[in-house]
Amino acid sequence: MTDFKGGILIFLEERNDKLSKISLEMVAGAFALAKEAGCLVTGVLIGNQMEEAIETALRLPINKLVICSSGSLGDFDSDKYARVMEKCYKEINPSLVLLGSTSVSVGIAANLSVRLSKGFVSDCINIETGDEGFCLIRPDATGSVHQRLVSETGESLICTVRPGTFSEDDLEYSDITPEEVFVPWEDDVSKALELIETVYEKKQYADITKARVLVSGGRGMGSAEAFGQLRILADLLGGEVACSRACIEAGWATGPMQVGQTGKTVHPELYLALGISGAIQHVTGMKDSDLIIAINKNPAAPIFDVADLGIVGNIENILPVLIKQLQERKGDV
Amino acid sequence: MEPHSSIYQSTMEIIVIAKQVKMADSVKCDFAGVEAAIRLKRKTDARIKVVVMGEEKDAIAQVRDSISMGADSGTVLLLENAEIDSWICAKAFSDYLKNENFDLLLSGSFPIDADTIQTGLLAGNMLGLASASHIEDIDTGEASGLLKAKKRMEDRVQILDVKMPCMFAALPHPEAPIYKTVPGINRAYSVDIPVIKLDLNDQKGKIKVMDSFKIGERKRGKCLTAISTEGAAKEIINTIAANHIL
Repeated sequence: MTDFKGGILIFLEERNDKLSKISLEMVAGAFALAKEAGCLVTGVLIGNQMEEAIETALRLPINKLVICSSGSLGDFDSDKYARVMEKCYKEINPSLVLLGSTSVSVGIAANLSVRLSKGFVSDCINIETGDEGFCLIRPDATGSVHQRLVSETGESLICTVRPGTFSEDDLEYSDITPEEVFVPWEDDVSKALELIETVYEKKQYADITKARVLVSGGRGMGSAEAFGQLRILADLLGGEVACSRACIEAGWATGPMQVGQTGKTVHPELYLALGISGAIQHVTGMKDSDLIIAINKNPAAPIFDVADLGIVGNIENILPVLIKQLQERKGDV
Repeated sequence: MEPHSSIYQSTMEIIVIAKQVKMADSVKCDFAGVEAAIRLKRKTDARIKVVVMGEEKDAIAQVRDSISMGADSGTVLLLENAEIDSWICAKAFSDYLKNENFDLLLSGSFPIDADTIQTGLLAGNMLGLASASHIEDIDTGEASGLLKAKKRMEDRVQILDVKMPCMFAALPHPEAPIYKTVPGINRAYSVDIPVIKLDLNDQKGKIKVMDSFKIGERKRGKCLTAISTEGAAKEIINTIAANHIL
């Protein structure tokens, strides 16, 4: 039996007093789903000193904003946050709970799922409405098959949503201020897990086989300097730099970066092949990537036979423009 | 009933759980948990038991591989239907673990690594353990009964002090693989690996698969020849965004 009446409850992730990009994406998605299902959307903000985040959240197209602010909630703790979410859940009885597929939210989602005895689906890449309520789409372990999941019991589900599932660009800020609800927080539980220190540092990407995005250069890059530009692009896309054998031979890159028969086999979500002709020895190592985009000046280059999008053009010209456009677009994930 | 802990009196007891995922022609195994356990064992006196859920042959092979790398013992929880709901799997793990002594429970930390982040965290929470995901490094704490863990987040690292017993979903370290050793391989083939048949027929799951659809074979896609530099960059960004990568 279709039941959307409880609506959608969203955990809005706040980082340094700003709403994270994934939170805005989820609101955009939930807004569209709520329109289809004819239900309400509630956002939950948990933390300390969230003035700017609250101000942004009050402009979001949601019906209700639940705020739980306390000095002891400043540093993320999945157990405390899950307890606040449990309180909100019991007040609202939503049909679907959305959290971001992030290191912060996955722990809250699992904790909440057990507290409420509701199903938990991680890493969803789409959500639909159907006869059996909200349908959650997620890739299986192979990554090549997608599953459409619904609640077995007709009860609500908790899911984490992969960043990029919904677009922040679809978000329509609202003139109607959502109802504000303040939830008190008393830290009355002895802590088994204590935060000692938070260190902000840049992640080192080491292994191209684990990267979600690979920016891969070939002989067509032309020089070590041009090849060096790929790092900027990879950082913008949250990925790693890889290469074809030609770059190793030219001394622009080191062995562990090589993709292909004599290098590594990779299957990232995005493989950006720049100046790579696409010899079979290279293609063997990357053809199982989810999305392949290739730029090469030779229209007959075999890389175009496996690319989802091919651009026949000059890398030297396209690369700086691509970097610039991405920099303009980039926000906090 | 709560899991027992030896509270790290002399030898730390570590249990690593891993759920196998069957694919068309192979089985996906997750070694991130056992690798984290072995790294910790190199720093302190610890005993590692691996509990693998899966079909008999493949699960025994994973236990043997884990022992060859440095684990001490292993058990198989025999799962006849690999497609089973992660709630049921987590419940089966937690039911088994209720009767075990351990200080630290470990699993992998990526959904792509055979789904154990979901199952592992659910099991940890079902057992009422302090749980944390995306753990990059574990060390013994300054006081007895404490562990110090490094949690990798999108933009920061948290250093946590955690009371045992606790549960961590560990991140893999592909840059520093742990290899099998000859004594390890010898041990792996000389120890008994108990196989416990799970009776999950009466267990009710939380989620059902309506249908699944395959992503198509790779074909030549769109190829643009006469396009401006700005247009090409825009086309690339739009394609990446449409595929949920940006």
